[in-house]
Amino acid sequence: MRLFPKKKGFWTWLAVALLIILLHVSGALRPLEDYFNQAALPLARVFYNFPLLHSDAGSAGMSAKELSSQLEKTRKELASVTVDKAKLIMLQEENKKLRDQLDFLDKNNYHYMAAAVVARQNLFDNSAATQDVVIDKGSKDGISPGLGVVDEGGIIIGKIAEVKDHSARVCLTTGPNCQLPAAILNTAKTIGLTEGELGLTIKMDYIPQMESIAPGDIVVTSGLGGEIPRGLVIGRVSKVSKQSNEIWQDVSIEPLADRQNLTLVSVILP
Amino acid sequence: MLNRILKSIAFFLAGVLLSLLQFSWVSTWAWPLSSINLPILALILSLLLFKPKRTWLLALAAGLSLDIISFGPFGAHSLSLLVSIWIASLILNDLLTNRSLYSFLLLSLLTLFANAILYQLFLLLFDWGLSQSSFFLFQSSFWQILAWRILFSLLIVLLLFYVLVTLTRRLKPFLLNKN
Repeated sequence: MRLFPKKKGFWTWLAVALLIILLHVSGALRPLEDYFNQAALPLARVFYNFPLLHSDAGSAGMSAKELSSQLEKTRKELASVTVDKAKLIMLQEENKKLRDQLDFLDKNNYHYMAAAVVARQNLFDNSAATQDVVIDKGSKDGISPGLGVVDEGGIIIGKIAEVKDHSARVCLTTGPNCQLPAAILNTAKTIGLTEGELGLTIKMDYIPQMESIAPGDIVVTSGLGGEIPRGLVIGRVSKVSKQSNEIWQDVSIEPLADRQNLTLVSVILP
Repeated sequence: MLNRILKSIAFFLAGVLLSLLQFSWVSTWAWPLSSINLPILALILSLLLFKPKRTWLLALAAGLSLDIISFGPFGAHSLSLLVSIWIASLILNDLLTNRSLYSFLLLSLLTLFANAILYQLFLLLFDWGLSQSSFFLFQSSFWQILAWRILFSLLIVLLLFYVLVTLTRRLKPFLLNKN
């Protein structure tokens, strides 16, 4: 078997590919890439919304269409109620403090930018644990890494991880590399970092044992050390893991956002 | 001349479409169906049905499109697809004796395997092992994804083969004709 083909074909195309890579690195290809992205992203959005073989289409247990839509409706209502409850608790806390100022800002006056989801990453490495999503807004639209992304119910689904001119990659809260500064709405106001686990849940580790946390406690963003404002609902505590001989306790958090049916999201701008 | 240029443009656009389908449509499929590598399957088909020059163009177009729209290191998709197709053409021309179903399946298996390894190697090369806790060959998730990818891809190849046998004479049918 001939190891290196005699024909020039392969080497020519390889040389072309390497030249293109070099041009990309030097920045000479940027305008072309821009035009390509602008043309390709709308088409990508159309393909993304093809109904066939979507991950939610064959969900086990949904035997009737009516049951499925009712369940979806109930899920949205639950998410909405949880968001309202979180806002109420935070408002009550603020009202307890004595304020000198008579006019205070509406703390929920966020600036949003709507974006469409056009794809799920990561290509060829797409087990459930590593799924991110790609949106059709990028640096030219004012998006930058670190900004929070919410669904239509105002529940945070992730944050901007990487940005191109006309698109951005959003790491989902359930992804292993997505950390959010968070606070649990319990008596101790526990703060920490959440991190995704196996693409299914979220965890918060290294919480002191003395802090009392119960299943059902709401977890929100703490607003510390980043671009993400505080008060955005992440999820609810589903399980508290405590060992008597350990200093720390861990919590598992059930995300409230529906990550499977993401089509339109909002990026919270600074 | 014009015919050749138009065919080249058509192949280039087919490569772009292929990459968009992989990026936006296949990625939304339920796991493990979403592990399918559509560009590789199309390239193998192209290798069997069309001239090698067209297949190189298709590979370059699909790879470049994926590099531009996805968020991996630029060049990883292009180079891995090109080298995978080179390996496939070596296998097809020097190892396989005919264009039968077995050849098609073996070619697909080996090319998918090669592409998976090459892509990870190029990722390592371009990212210098960024954020990798261990070498990809020692990660069970790599082998799991590859196994599912090969399984579903071979099923698709099997179906495609039967469709193509009825449409073209370039492939040897699996079942012998009674006549």
